[in-house]
Amino acid sequence: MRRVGVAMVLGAFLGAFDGLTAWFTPAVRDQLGTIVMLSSLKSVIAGLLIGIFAVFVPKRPAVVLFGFGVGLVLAWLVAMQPDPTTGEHYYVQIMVPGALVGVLVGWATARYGGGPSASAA
Amino acid sequence: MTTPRPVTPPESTRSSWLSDAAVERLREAAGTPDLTATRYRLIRRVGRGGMGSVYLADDTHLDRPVALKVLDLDDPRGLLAERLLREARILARLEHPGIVPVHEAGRLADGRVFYAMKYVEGERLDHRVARDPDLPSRLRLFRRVCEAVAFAHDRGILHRDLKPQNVMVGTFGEVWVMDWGVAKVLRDVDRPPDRGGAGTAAWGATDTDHGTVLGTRGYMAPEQERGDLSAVGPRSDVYSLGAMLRFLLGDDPPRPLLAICAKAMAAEPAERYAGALDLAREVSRHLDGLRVEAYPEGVLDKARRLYERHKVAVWLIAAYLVVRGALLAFLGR
Repeated sequence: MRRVGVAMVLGAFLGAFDGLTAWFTPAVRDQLGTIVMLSSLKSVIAGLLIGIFAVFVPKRPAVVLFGFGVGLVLAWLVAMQPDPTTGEHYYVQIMVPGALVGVLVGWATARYGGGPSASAA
Repeated sequence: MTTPRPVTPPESTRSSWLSDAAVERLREAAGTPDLTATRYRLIRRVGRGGMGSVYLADDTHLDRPVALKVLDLDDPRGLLAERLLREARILARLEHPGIVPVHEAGRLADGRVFYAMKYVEGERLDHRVARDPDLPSRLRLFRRVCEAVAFAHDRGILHRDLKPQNVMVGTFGEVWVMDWGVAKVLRDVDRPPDRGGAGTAAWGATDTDHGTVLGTRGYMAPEQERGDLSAVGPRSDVYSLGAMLRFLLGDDPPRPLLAICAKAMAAEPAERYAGALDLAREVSRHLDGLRVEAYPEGVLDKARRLYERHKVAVWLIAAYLVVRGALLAFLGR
């Protein structure tokens, strides 16, 4: 269960950080709180899934790949929602960092989450 | 036995004389141990040590290869025989995966003393190192040597001749510390009292006299080289392990590892690691990317070590930041 906890905490932290980068986009700066919250929630869910996967598949490459996939899919679900003001979709801007966050969470879970996965690279 | 004298025969009769090769074969045959009335069948000689030869033999009862160490030097006073048996007894009490197990010891039909041990297939550590440039794998092998030596110390036995040539490495990375012929029994820790467990007298009958130098120069601790027996202890083996580690490191090793060697090879025993396990732990700390106690690191050293330890994380975070920065710079969010 330690791996699930590590993955969720890391997901929350990285998700919040990823959301905070929206501050650099003046057009959405007034929605920063919502963006950070939703980004964190997305990454916590990703962390939960990655952590559970890591418990059952204690192989670092597999966990990293799973993290990539989960990050990408969840980011895609978010990117499917159009911008409320412009109606545009930001697939690249949301999915690429989302997938990278998934990779980071997956790798860190396998590396630092304890148990056999920590040495199964 | 009389050996044919190498005199030159007259030209006419030379062909009927024995050739040098034949003489050598005769010598070999005369030196071959008589395994009559034993369970062993001789296969071939595989090595030669300080006291005797080592033969590969077949254990006909259990159908497995064994190594037989047989005394083959003149020993009128029986001291070498006693030393060989003592080596067998020492090995027999060291049941550890890193130490070759002894199966049997005794006297052959020809009167020579022998002992049978596991036949180790592998290569000497120095040979292994010559073809394996990977430092972490060398360090892992070294750690196993330390563990075997630490076990022997715990059983009250010093090796006193630790060097790469006395370590065998198996095909699967198994490690065996060999050649306990000059080992010293410090104390008798687990023999029952009725077999002399109260002291070391039974073991020390052929022990080294004060002033005698045993070991290998370059790997011997200073106190051992001086023949100062009272000062020889586990830390003397730690010195030899330090010298072995230095050999394994090769050219231009990382500074923390050099510091570990320097501490293990300190001139004063009190300044060395207290035991082989402490040395192994320091090597493990280096392997795990942790700070080694022997090396006072600066800020740059610490940064380098942390980077090495978390290299992938650093690169992943860097990749994320670069991508994020590029998206902000080129796509506006």
